[in-house]
Amino acid sequence: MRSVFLLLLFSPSPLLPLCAGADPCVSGVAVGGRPGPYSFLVATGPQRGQQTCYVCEQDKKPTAIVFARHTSAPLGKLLAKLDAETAARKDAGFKAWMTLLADTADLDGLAKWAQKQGLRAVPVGVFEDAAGPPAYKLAADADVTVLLFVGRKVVANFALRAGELTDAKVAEVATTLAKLFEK
Amino acid sequence: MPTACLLLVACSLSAEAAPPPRLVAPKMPLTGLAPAKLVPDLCVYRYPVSTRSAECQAFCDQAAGYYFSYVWMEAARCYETALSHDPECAYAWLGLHRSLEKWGKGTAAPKSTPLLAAVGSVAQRKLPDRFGKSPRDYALETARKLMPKANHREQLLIRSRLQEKGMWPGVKPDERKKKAQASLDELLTLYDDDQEGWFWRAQIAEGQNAKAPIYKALLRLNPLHPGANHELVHFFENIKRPALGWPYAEGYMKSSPAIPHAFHMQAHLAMRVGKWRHTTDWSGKAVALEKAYHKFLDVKPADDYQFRHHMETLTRSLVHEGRFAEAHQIKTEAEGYKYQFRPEWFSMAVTERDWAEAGKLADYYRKSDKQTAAYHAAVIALEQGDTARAAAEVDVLRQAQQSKKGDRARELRLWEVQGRLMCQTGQGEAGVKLLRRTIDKTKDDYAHHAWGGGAYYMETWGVAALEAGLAAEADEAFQEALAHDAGSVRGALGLWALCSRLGRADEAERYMRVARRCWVKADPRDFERLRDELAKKAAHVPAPSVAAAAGE
Repeated sequence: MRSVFLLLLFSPSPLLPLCAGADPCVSGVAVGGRPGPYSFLVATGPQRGQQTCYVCEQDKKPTAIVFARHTSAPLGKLLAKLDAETAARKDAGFKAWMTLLADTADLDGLAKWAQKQGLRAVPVGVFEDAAGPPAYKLAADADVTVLLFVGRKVVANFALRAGELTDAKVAEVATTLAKLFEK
Repeated sequence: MPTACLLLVACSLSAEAAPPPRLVAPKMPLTGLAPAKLVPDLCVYRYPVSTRSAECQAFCDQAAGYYFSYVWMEAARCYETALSHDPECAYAWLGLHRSLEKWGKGTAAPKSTPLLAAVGSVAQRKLPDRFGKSPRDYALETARKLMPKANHREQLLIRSRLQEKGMWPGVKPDERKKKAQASLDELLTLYDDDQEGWFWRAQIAEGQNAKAPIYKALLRLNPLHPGANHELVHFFENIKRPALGWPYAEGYMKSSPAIPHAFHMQAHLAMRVGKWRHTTDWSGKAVALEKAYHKFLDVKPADDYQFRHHMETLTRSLVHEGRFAEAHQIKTEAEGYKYQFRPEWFSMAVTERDWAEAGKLADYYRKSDKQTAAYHAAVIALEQGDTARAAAEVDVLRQAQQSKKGDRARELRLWEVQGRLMCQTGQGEAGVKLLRRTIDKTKDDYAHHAWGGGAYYMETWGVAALEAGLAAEADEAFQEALAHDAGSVRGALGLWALCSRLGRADEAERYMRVARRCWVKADPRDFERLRDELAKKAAHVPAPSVAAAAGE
């Protein structure tokens, strides 16, 4: 018993989501809720260096927001997928962006990371408070929170702990995007 | 004595004359200032000039540090002091010329009349150059004459400046800048580690974004170059990308640990992008360093053109963060210097509910500016809930506006108090509509967002919406306030009050954390008073059970 306890205590991080799997992560504005305005420091794209509220700019248009606590390869894959969707759904006014939650911004470092991921139309930036915009109710244990909204209402919410952003989850987000364009 | 001294200096500086004796006058002849003193660890910048005098070198370095921080008077003082140790230092003469020009002094040629009376008109033709030129031109001319004694780098730097000023042979008026640029390009081609070359090349670069890449190149050479860091802070603020200037604001402070302006400049960016964590303390350090500087060199605050702006910025920051005890202390000091920061003091008095002080500030405008007086009086009345008095003041504003249509600032003020009055008198929907107009007119106004003022109308909109019992409007308004200013304590407390009223406990707690962070250094009693006031206003919002019963 003791050895099992020690194993759990010192288990490598990939095991953590397995332990937490029974208790789904809850983070971000719930489905049906309205995403409020928030601004963050943008590191890439035309608004680089500016404090910008894309929620205000998007208004009723289809949108995907990714809140993340760290940059990672899976996050890069998710954003690359959203980047491709942005290009494909430009006419529908779709926009996606990523807001990194951190106490201090390193915009140049983040811009370099975005470049390595090959991102073109998805801006990334930093919200300088690890708790995130209060109205979004982002959970401390949510490594990545994805919100899809249109008509000022959230239609899908993905709250993921560290290690839960798998290729399958990226594909699920991409599939769910279709909801934004249903008439 | 001054005339004799000038003669001594002038003679000593003519190219034909032998090396001059050292200056010993209590006030130096060209700047009229007492000699400089070395300040330990003022600035990390070092640039070896052509001198064998360690004192001359030290004062040149100190002068450059001041120059890069726009402390022109001290730069001039240091360069002239450097010349007292080595009058043949050509680069110090160039620095003196540049400093005098920026300082705006040294434009008039010295009067030679007393001298002529002494030496007679026959001698007039033989007077040294000093008497035919302003100190700043004389300094540049002397730099030119001393070029043979300067190193190759300095020669190119001096030549560039002479070309820019049209004082170099073969330079037509329309090609001055190009020739000057070419000289510096030559310098940087031959000596690509030359910090002065990079800095001055950036200074005369042409085109909207031409300067920035050159300053960035200089920072690769010396990441703590004070001039490049300082200029890039201004640059990124000016091109409306303030967040990109932040690393340079930090670099500037590191480069100039005892120069007040370095600790002030960060506020230009921090207060725009919501970086409130350290900005006020750094602005406080700027003012503390400046007072120490005044004492150390016996400088009158009136002669320090940066001081007022630094004091004003500190006041704004302290008031924004609810640090009223410190703001009162600065107010007392400011009044001693005859500075008036009335808008900030008014805001503080209203937040502190010090109606006598707020009234005094409003009354100040009665004689000179009735509209401003009426606006302030209306704000006080609205804060007190005195709608009758507020209505009278709003009438004054409305009538005045009839004759001054097109004055946007006054129009905004009218909408603000009129909208809020409507919210307090049962016309909430119309009131918030008017307040939304103030937002539409200001939300994208870059100037309005300077100095932490970007959320002002949103906060007023939110407060008015609470007073009118309009939950959705208040929610949107306060969220906008926080989106435009992450340090908006009213935005955070307004949302706390609203969420508490509506039973959204989790959100309320999150907003309370933000509010406490915004006013982390405020007196807890001030924080609690503001919190309680907003809670009181939120009581106008129907509680969920009431709203449900009413079918909302």
